[in-house]
Order: sequence, then structure tokens, then C-alpha cells
Amino acid sequence: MLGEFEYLLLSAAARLKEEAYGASIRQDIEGSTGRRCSVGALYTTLDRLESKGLIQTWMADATPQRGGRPKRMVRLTAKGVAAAADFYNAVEQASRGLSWSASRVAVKA
Amino acid sequence: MTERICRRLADLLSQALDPAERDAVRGDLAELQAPRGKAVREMAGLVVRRQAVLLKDWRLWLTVLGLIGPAGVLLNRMARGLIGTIDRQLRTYLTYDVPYRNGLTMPEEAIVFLCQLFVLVLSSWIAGMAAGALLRRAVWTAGALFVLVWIVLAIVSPMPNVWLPGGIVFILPVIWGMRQGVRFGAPAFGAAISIAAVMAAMIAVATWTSGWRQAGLEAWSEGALPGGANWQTRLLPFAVMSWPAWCMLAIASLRKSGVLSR
Repeated sequence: MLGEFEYLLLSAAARLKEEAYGASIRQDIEGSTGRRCSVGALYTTLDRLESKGLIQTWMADATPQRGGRPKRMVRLTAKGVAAAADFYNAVEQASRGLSWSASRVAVKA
Repeated sequence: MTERICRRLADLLSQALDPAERDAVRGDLAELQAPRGKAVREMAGLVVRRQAVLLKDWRLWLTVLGLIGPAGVLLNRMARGLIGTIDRQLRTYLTYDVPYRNGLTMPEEAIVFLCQLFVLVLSSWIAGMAAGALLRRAVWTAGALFVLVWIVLAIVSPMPNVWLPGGIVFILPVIWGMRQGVRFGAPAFGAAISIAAVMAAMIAVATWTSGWRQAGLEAWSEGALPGGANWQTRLLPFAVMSWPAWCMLAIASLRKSGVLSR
């Protein structure tokens, strides 16, 4: 089963699609959770997910705004999509009937 | 000024990362326009995490127990002894206005000192190179451990006048050797033979000349201070201290014969 941060990273990469790379994933996670995401946590988690076969990474073009340095691009594999879906289902199942789950629905409604 | 220091520090820290990762991380920090201080913290955090992962590698612990610990202690002690010689000469001269006499002439004293200094610098360089070649990505941890040995010895056996210069004489060649080890790996057979030959020759000369001091002291004191150790006893610390050179030679010959892969 995935860890919480691994799930956040996979979700960000899935949302960003072709634009998923280190800096954009970090901004997405910080924007969606309101929590700080350090470079150290991001890059070590990327390595772990890649070694589990849940993502693929490769070095892409450099841009002037990055000081001419390349990006480490990220793409989910089919196994990664399945792992994220499993995690989401497990959290949803585990939250069923709980007060915070109900209050979130109430707030949304 | 602060910004320049932070930039240099972030650049220095990034050297501990693989080149591709270094570029990607520095690019990310530039794109996010992270303030310099934050960039240093972020870079340091990643380096610490990367080095911490490597602590699980058995080769690191083998190198620590077999190389960094014993070689670090011996090299450090020899460096302190050598600097202690200069310290004693200087303080005697400054206090009493006469040179410290131990039965050797100044040229003899200089030869003994230079031989031992050369063995020390060469042994430290080879120990650093062996650590760099064996550990590669964990080289920062290895470097930190060499410094830790230095600090622990300074605490356990304090010698206020010599610990800093003694440490520098030992640490600088270690760092230089580590850089070489990381860049070029373990030396090939020919280079390893050459290094071992130079080391053996220098050890022989240092063992021989270290006997001068004892003989000189015995003659100067008219037998009151005995000459002491035989050549085998004088050779032992040099031989132990230089074992990384023999280790590199063994690795190179095993690789040459195909027993070890590259």
C-alpha cells in the first residue's frame, strides 16, 4: 500500500499530465494540501516510486527560467494508476460512516 | 555578501548529488525563485536524505570499520606527532632562545621530518582515494567520518597546540584523495603498482631515518636515554598506516585477473 505522501505525489503527477516535473509537482502538492513540500522529500519519494515501478522519470529540455537546467519529468505507469486507485478506495472505505467524512460531505453540499 | 555565501554553499552541497539530479534540483529551485537561504536548506535536506539512505549499504560500514576508523586514528596521531616536533622546536627557541637538542643535526632533523611528512601525506591521500573509490555517493558521509575521528581524538586526547594544524595536515590530503577517488575510481593495476612502490620506498626510508633520532638521543644523553625500538617496531606503524595502498593494489590485481568485476 502507498504512503500518504506517495499518494499525493502520484495524484499531482496524474493531474499535471505532460507538465509533471519536480517544481510543478511541488507547487501542486503545496497548493492542494496547504502543506510545505521539501525538495528532499520530493526527490527521494520520486526515486522510491520509480523503483517500485509506479512512475517513469526522464530528463527533459532546459528552459531559460530554470537557468538553462533540465527538468526531471514524471509519468505514471499503469501500475502507478492502479496503486493510487487502490489507496483512494481504501481511504474511502475506511472513512465510511465517520463523522469527519459526513461533515466534509455536509460542507460540500 | 550573504547571498554570495549562500549561493556558494548551495553549489557546494549540490556536488554531493548525482549530476543529473543536481541539475534538476537547481533548476527547480531557480524556477521557484527560492530565496538563497531556503535554497541552501532545501539542498542540505536532500543531501542528508540521500546520504542517510546510503547508511543501509554494507560497503559503507565495511569501509568505516576497516579503513576510516583505523587509518584515521593512526594518520591523525602521526600528524599530531609531527606537528608536535615543530611545536617543541619553536617553543624551545622562543622561550630559551636555543634550539631543542635531541642529538641530531638540523639537516638530519629536517630529513627525518620530511620523510615522515611525505609518508603521512601519501598515506592520507591513498586512504581518501580508497574511501572515495569504494563509496562514491556516500563520500560526504565518509569525509564527515574522517573529520569526526579528528574531533573525537581532539576531545579524548587533547593537545591544544597541535590538534588544528595536525588535523589539517591529515584532512587536506584525505579530501584531495577522495576527490580523485570519486572522479577516477580505484587505480588501474599499473598505477596501483606505482603507488605501492613509492609507498614501500618511502616507508623504508622513513623507518631507517626514524632510527637516527633514537640513536642521536642515546648518544647525546651518553646512554641515559636508551635507543629503544628496533627497526621492526619502527616499521609497524608505517606499515599499518599505509594498508589502504596494499588494499588498492590487491583490488587492482584481482580486477586484472578477472576475479573481481569493474
